Amino acid sequence: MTFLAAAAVGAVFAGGFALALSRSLARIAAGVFLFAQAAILFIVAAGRPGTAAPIEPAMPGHAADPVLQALALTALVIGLGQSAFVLALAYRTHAAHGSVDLHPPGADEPGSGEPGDDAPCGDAGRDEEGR
Amino acid sequence: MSLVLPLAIPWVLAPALALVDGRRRGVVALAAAGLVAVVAALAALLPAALSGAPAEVVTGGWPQGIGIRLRADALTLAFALPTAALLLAAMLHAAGRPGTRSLPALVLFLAAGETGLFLAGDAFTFYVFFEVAMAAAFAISATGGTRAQIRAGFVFTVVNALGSAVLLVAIATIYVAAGTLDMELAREALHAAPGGVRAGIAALILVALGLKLGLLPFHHWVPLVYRCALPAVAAILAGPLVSVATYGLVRFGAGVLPGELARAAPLLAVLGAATLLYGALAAVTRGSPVEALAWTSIAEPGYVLVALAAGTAAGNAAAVLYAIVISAEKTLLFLASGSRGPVASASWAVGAFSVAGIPPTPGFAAKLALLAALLAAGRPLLAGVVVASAGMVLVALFRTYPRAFRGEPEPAGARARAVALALAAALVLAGLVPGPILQLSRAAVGP
Repeated sequence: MTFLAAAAVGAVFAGGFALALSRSLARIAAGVFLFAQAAILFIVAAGRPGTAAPIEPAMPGHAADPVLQALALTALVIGLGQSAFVLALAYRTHAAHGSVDLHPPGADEPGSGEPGDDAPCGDAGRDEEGR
Repeated sequence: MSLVLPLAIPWVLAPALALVDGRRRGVVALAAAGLVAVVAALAALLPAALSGAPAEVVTGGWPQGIGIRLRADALTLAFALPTAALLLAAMLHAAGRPGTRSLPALVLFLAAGETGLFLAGDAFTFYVFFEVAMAAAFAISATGGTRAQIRAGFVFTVVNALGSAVLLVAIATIYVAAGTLDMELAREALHAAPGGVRAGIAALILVALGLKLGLLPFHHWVPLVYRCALPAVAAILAGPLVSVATYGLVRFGAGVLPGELARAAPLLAVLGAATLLYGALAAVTRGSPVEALAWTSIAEPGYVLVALAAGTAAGNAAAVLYAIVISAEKTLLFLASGSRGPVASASWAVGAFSVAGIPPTPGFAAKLALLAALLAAGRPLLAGVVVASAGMVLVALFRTYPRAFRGEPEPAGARARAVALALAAALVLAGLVPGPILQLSRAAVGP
């Protein structure tokens, strides 16, 4: 059981990380969600899942660990906020560059290496409202 | 109450300021007053911390280990005080620019999160406040509105979200292995945990914070994020946020897992030295001042790692001192690099001298403390690496210097230049009278 849980956590971590390494903004965002969820899965799996609910005063070790459940809930809520922001940024990046690619052509031109020469940052594309 | 005050002030002020336009002078002034109040409230806790009886409160009056504990010891205040002051400087520098409508509120949220994580006495409270600070930092990293800045914010957010998940796993493992989340109690309880689990926790924390700091080999995202950022945004990323990660290394390393820190000393030495040398070399090859600064920001936390690798109390004190000094230097350098003219170039020069360790700057005191600790611990090779890296960084910085500040100072940037000059003056003062910060850093790793 423990081995299965560990394998599952590892698989979700690996899947999330592999997605986060891709070039598409949507896949990167999905990878981040999966990676955060894998951490929460790890916390839940570490808390003796499948044993009794920690409501009645039970012998330690015979009930699930409530502190880890609290950690998992907090982490879920934090992850929700984080995911919302990652999605919002992914959308804004897509809207600003017009491409779902993380490295759209023309966005990463290197400077010439001379002192005082800046790599182009492109002020083109500034928001109308200046927000 | 006095311990909760530095948390309560930004916590209450930030949502209020988020509702108004942060480009207006009144709003900026209110935010600045809030940050000054935070610094004052933290400074009021210093005497107790230095006298060995740090202020402490457990929420709800629960016993330690059950309630959430906040404590303001010397290590906490050594990081919290400069960080709040640097956030104030960065906010004043950027306020009023286009695209900074929510910047004062975001900086206050960041101050609330950072103060909270420095004050946190248990690992999960640290994590929660860490996430609060990172949420504000994600938004700050995309500030400015140009598309390059938005993309930089996306990269920064993704990288740090991954790091946060790793940190969460580490903290949950601390609980499972120690049976408690409180840092002091966990330190005792972890002695009984299996060595593999302790090593795993330490490795996960190193990976999470290394990703955040941009240590080798997690450094690729740093130049991309810094390249097009507003100077104040880069200053916040390179100063206060770096000190979050270095604080985590010192608190979890020397504070919770001292045995693992000692055992990992060779790894830390190699990683630190590699980061120092690679970052400095890459900085030399950069043409633009901001990219050179970005690479020195990658290199500088290597000093903290090398100091921790020395394995002595003097080394840990040097690590704390260096962590504070590099965050101040980097903030100054990035803030000054956003302006032109003689005032900006003089401020920048103070920062560059501090990075190189030339008196009268705090970088000199920090470097002296670090070299003394390394030589006393019998690590002359590391001392040589420190000196070599400092020399290369000096070359890198002054190679970009001549053309960077050429031209007339822009009239609209008077406040920005004044902030940079004030920060430079504070650094020179700290360099001329290094006693207090030296005492604070030694008390931070004290008995």
